[in-house]
Order: sequence, then C-alpha cells, then structure tokens
Amino acid sequence: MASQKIKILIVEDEILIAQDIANRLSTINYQIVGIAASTERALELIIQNNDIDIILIDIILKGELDGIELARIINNKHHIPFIFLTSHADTSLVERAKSVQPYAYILKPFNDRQISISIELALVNYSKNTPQKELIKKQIFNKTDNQVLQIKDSLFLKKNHHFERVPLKEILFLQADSNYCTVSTKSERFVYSMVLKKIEAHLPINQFLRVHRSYVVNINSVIGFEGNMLFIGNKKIPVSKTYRNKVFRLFHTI
Amino acid sequence: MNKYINPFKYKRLIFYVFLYTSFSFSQNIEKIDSLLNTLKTDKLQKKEQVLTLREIAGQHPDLNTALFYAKQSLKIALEIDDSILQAISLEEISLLERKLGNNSLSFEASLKALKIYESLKMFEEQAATYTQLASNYISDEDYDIAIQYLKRAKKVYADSDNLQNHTLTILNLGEAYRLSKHLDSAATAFQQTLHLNKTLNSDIVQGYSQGNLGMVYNTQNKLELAEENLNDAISILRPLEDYYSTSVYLAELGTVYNKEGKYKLAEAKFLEAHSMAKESGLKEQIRDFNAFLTNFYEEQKQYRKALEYQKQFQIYQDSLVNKENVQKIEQLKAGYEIDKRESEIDLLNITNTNQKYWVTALTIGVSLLLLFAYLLYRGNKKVKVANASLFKREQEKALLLRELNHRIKNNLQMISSLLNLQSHELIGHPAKEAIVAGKHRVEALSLVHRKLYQEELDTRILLKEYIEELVLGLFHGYKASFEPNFKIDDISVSLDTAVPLALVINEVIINALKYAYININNPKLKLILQKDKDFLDIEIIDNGIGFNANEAEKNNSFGIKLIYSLIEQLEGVIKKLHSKNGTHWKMTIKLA
Repeated sequence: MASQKIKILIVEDEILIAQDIANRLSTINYQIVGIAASTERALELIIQNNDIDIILIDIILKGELDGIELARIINNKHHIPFIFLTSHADTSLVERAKSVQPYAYILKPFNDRQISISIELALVNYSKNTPQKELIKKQIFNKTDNQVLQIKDSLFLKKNHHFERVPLKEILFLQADSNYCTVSTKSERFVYSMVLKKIEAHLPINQFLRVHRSYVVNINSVIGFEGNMLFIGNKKIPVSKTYRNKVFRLFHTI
Repeated sequence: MNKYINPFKYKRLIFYVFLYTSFSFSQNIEKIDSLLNTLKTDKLQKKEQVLTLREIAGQHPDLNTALFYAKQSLKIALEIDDSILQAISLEEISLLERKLGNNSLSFEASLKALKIYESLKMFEEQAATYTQLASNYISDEDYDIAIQYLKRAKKVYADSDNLQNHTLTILNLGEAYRLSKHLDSAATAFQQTLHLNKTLNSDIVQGYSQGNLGMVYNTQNKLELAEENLNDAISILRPLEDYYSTSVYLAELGTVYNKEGKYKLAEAKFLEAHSMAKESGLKEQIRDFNAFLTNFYEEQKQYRKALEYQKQFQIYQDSLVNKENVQKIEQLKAGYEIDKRESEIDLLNITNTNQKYWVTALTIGVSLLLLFAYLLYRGNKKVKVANASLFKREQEKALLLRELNHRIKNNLQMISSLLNLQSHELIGHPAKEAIVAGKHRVEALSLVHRKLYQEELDTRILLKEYIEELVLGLFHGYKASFEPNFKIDDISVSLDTAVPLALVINEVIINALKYAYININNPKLKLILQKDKDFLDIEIIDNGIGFNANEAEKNNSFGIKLIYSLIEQLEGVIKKLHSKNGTHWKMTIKLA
C-alpha cells in the first residue's frame, strides 16, 4: 500500500448534480466514498468510513437537518474538513453557513476548475486551521504542483491538479535533486518541483531525519547500516559527516 | 324720597338746611360697608341694585367715589329702562356734582330729572327739583332764575297738602328776594312764612323766618324791628344748637347795635358770634367776624385790636383761599379720577372684548390644530401602512427574485451536469465532443449568472473578473499546460453584452486549445479587451499552427457560425488579421 487517493463524501440531494460532481472528481483521481441525499445518510456513511478526507455538503438538503446542521455535527464529532456547495440564495443562510466555519465554498453553477480550487483551498485551510471567512473571495488556483500539506498522519501532495495522500509511515526517504525533490514510498516515487528543505518543514521531526545535504529519511524505515550508509528498502543512503553523530546516536549498536 | 330744602342764603354766609336725618361719620361707614356687601354678595334685582348704589352714593363721605356709585346706579337704571329710577339717580348726581362744584353738570342732571318727572306728571318731585335748581342758581348768584323756579315750586306745593314744603319753599323764595335786594318782596315772603308757621309750628321755620326778616329790616335800616326779630331768632335757634345760623344772626345783631351806636353791645355780639364760630369751627364765619371786628375796632380807633383781628382775618382768609385752592385741586383730581375710572372701565371692557376674541381665536386655533393633527396622523398612518405594504411587497419581490436566481443557477447547473454525465457515457463516440462543447457553452452562460448574482442584484458584470475566470476555467478543463496572458480593461458590461461575448470568447478559446497548439513548444495565448469610447475592442492572439478556415469549418463549423452570428447580434465586426505564427482575431463590438 502506497499513496492513497483522497476520499470524498458528497452530500447532495439533487442526484444528477451529485453524480456529475462524482464524475468530475473521479476523473481527476479522487475517490468518492459515497453520495448521501440527506444528513442522516451522510452521518451513517461518515461512521462507516472512518477515513474520509473531505466532505462536500450542499447547504440546502431535504429533511429536518440541513447542510449547515450537518456541518455542525461534523465539527463537533468528526473533525473532517468540509466544503459547502451553494447557489447562495439569501443572506441569512450565508450568515448561518459562516457560523459553522466551512473550509471552502463551491458556488453553483460550477465547473471543473472551481471544484479543484475549492478542494485545494479546503485542504490548505484545514492544515493551517483557518476556516474560509469569505464566501465570495477570488479563489486563486495554485498552478504549480508544489503544494505539500500535512494533515493528521498523512502528507497531502499535489500532482496533476489534484492531491494525493501519502501516509507518513509509508514514506521511506526524500531525495533532493537540484530544484526537484523525490518522495520515495514503498511502492512509488513522487517528483516535486520543490526544494527538499520546504517539504522537510512539513514533516514531524521525531520521525524524519536529515542525514545528508540531499536526503531526509524516515527513521522507522531504516533497516540497517554499514559504515556511513543507511539501508532503507533496497536503497543505500549516505550519511554525511555533518549529520553522522546525530544519526548514529539514534542507532545503538549491540 | 328725601327732600332737601335750602331755606336761605346770605351773601358770603351760605346756608343749606338739609331736612333729612344725617348719620354720624362712623355710622355712615358702617352703612356703606353693609350696603356694598349686600351689593356684592346678594343676588339683587337690577332695581334694587340701582337703589342700593344710589344710597351708597348718598352716604359716601368721598364725593368722587359717591359720584362713581351714583353714575353706576344711573347706568343700571338706563339698562332696565326705568324712568323713575333714572330720575332719582340723576338727582343724586346733580347733588354730588353741585358739591364738587361742577355746576353745569349738576344743572344738566337736574334738568334731565325734571324732564322725566314732567313727562310722568310727578308734580311733587318736579317741585323738589325746581327747588334744587333754584338752590344751584342762588349759588351762582343768578337770583332771577332761582326766583322763577322757586315760584313754580311754590305753586306746586300750594296746590298740594304739603304745608311744610310749601312753607320752606316760601322761606327760600324770601331768601332769594333778599339776596337780589328785593327787600319788600323778601319781607312779605318771611311774614307769610311766619303766618303759615302758626299752623306748622316749627321752631326752625320760626327762627329762620325771624332771623332773615331781621336781616332784611337791618338792610332797610328798620333797626328796632331788626333787633327784635334777630333776638327772637337767636333765642329760638341757640337752644337748637344751630350755631351756624345763631352766630350769623348774632353778628348781624352786632351790626344793628353798631348802627344804633350801642358799641358795647355791638362788640359783645361780635365777640360772641366770633367765639361761637370758633367753638364750632366755622372758618368762613370766623374770617367774616374777624373782618367785622377789624372794621369795628378801626371805627372805634382801637387800632391794636383792629390789627389783631386783621391778622386773624388774614390767617383765615389765607387758609380759606388755600382751602378753595385745595377744593379746586380736589375737583380737578376728581375729574381726573373719574376720567381715569371711566377709561379703566373702557379698558376693562376692551380687555374683556379682546379676551373674548382671544378665547374665540384660541378655541378655533386649537380646534384647527387638533384637526390638522388628526389629519396628519391619519395621513401618516396611511403613508405608514402604504409604506409597510410597499416595503413588504419589495421584500417579497426581492425574495422572489433571489429564489428565481437560485432556481436559474440550479437549473443551469442541472443542464451542465446532465451534459457532463452524458459525455462520460460517450467515451470514444463522435458525439462526445459536441456534448462537451455544449457543456462548455452552458458553463460560460452559467458563469455569467454566477458572477451576476453573487453579491448585489445587478444587471451589470465586471468584465475583467468574468473573462479571466471563463478563460482559466477553459484552460483548466482542457488541461492546458500554460497560462493565458490577459490585458483587460476594468469595466463593467451589461448582461445583454456579457452573454454573447462570453459565448464568442468561449468558442475562440476552445478552438485554440483544441487545435492550435499541436506540436507547439512554447504555447502562448493573449487576450486583449479594451474600451474605445462606445466600443469594445477584442483581440485574441495565439502562436499556434494557424487557422485554416476550411479546416476549421470542417472541425468546428458550428462554433465558427456561432461566433459570426453573435458578433452580428452585438452589432460588431470580426476580422482575422494576418499573422506569421498562429491566429489573430480582432473584433469590435458596440457597448450597450
């Protein structure tokens, strides 16, 4: 198991729109865990799938609890970032929507670009813990594939207009190559046009360790060492003099 | 009715004998107070008011105030149109004016009263008035007229049974004759009164008749008769304590003795008269007796005494002159006071009338104000109600419009979603492209609506923001690996312009993204929208493989047709400029 698709739940009672959104998201490599037409159904799906990354919620839903009430429950119990879908009908609704602090909005009628932007925005805001304050903010889409976000125990890496989730424990090491950086997992390699130092900043220091000018390793994935070389997977990673003491202090020889 | 008879008048020694009972001063005050109280508190009839006021006038020690009440009395009498009461009031006024020295006013009042009595044939009252008038004329030393009036009175009384009045009138007539030097007529008159008094048997009539007769005899130098009559008069009047008359007769007797050469007796009588006058405080008499004594002592060559009495005479003369002055001033003051009172009354009336006007005006004003307030309130209420309903309607309208926009956006979303869903099912199918193109067209339209109703309900849209998002959306949708280059003016356009323009740009950009960049290493696209007065210049430049009309028509004939049609709708022109590399579209449209 390597990188995972980001899992999205869609809560929308207009089934054609829900399916359209599902189609569009699938096309750009997101995984749809389900479509719920009501708050109750949405809560069932959330409980069944404990690894949902983002929820898209239409504000106006049939039933007793609308999208805003659902968002309130999610905020209180589940702590999952959510995005409001709305055609922005009246101000009182918008005020209520703001009160539950959504991480992004998608305004109907939307297109592919708006969906991509809002997902990126929601992830960025969630990782920084800054809810979206304005409904009508000009949303700038970050063109470059250099977004790295750490949310919970995963790294969210942007690639080809979409994000992928890489659990931290899956990462073996990161390798710098001039302005690029390669993230190696057990099964895949991701190349980012981003300096190593910038990615390193998003990694937990008790789990990742700089061993060389060009290498950051996952401590837990080290399976052995010989001289100034660390064995990770089937690769040998050099340890430079600068970091040697610090590195080998962690690995006590018997 | 009270009667007043003036029995005689001596030059400089004026006698008025009032035959009605007089009250003491303090009694007068009490009476007046009680009368005033009655007038104020009791609801008297008008007639009673007239009589009460007249009585107050008769009692009041201050002549001015008395006159005021008398006039009030007359006023009410006139109001109730009672002739007798008017006459009574007029008589009172006449008397008071007389006392105040306003003789002409007094005559006027008396004559008015007389007229009333004549018309009513009230003879006794007429006679009384004649007497009053006569008394006035005597004061003015107009004895002939006085005598005529007294003769008339006498005639009236002769026909009546009123012996007393008849006698007193003759007595007055005699005095008038005496003063006008008709001494024989005077003597006859006094002899007649003495004759009549045998039946009447009045000491006063007896005393006055004899005293006056004595004075006549003295003037006629019938000294013995004079001495006899004067002595009788003094002996009758002295016990009656009529010091005034007594002192006058004593002095007269003194002159008789003086003429007779009985100087001792003369001196004794002069001194007695002098001391009596002094005791009784009769200043005018004191002055006159001083003059007598001065003359007497001069004749006797007792110059020291003469000087002494001359001095006393001077003192009393001065005092009396002063008194006259004071009286004159008092009269002037009285006149002024009356004027003042009258003007005050007028003023009060005017004030009263003014107040009435004010109250009326105020009432009308307040009524009008209330009316206006009510009308204003009603108008306001109406306006409020109208405003409220208008506001409600506006709100409903806004709500409906929002709901409508919501539905438009939702439906546009549905159309777009339907096309998108269908395109997914048509993988590899030739129709897919048409469906996708349709989807993009719908999305271009949708974007207008999303932008339009985002914040305010408006019919204009910001060109730059909208076109940029449209183009970026297409770049995203077609997974373009480069960024477009924008140069767009910051202007707003109407919905009527925005929709066709969006569709035109949509087609041009899609065409470029689909066909222009095949095997192009460094793809570029530039979009220029600039306002030129009432026109908008649009340039879309790419560095692609160039545009071949024939080929394009084959590939996307509908798109090209759409562009030309919409430009026509926008009243614009479209040109494809010659370019070395790629395609350069230039369009000019009219800004609505």
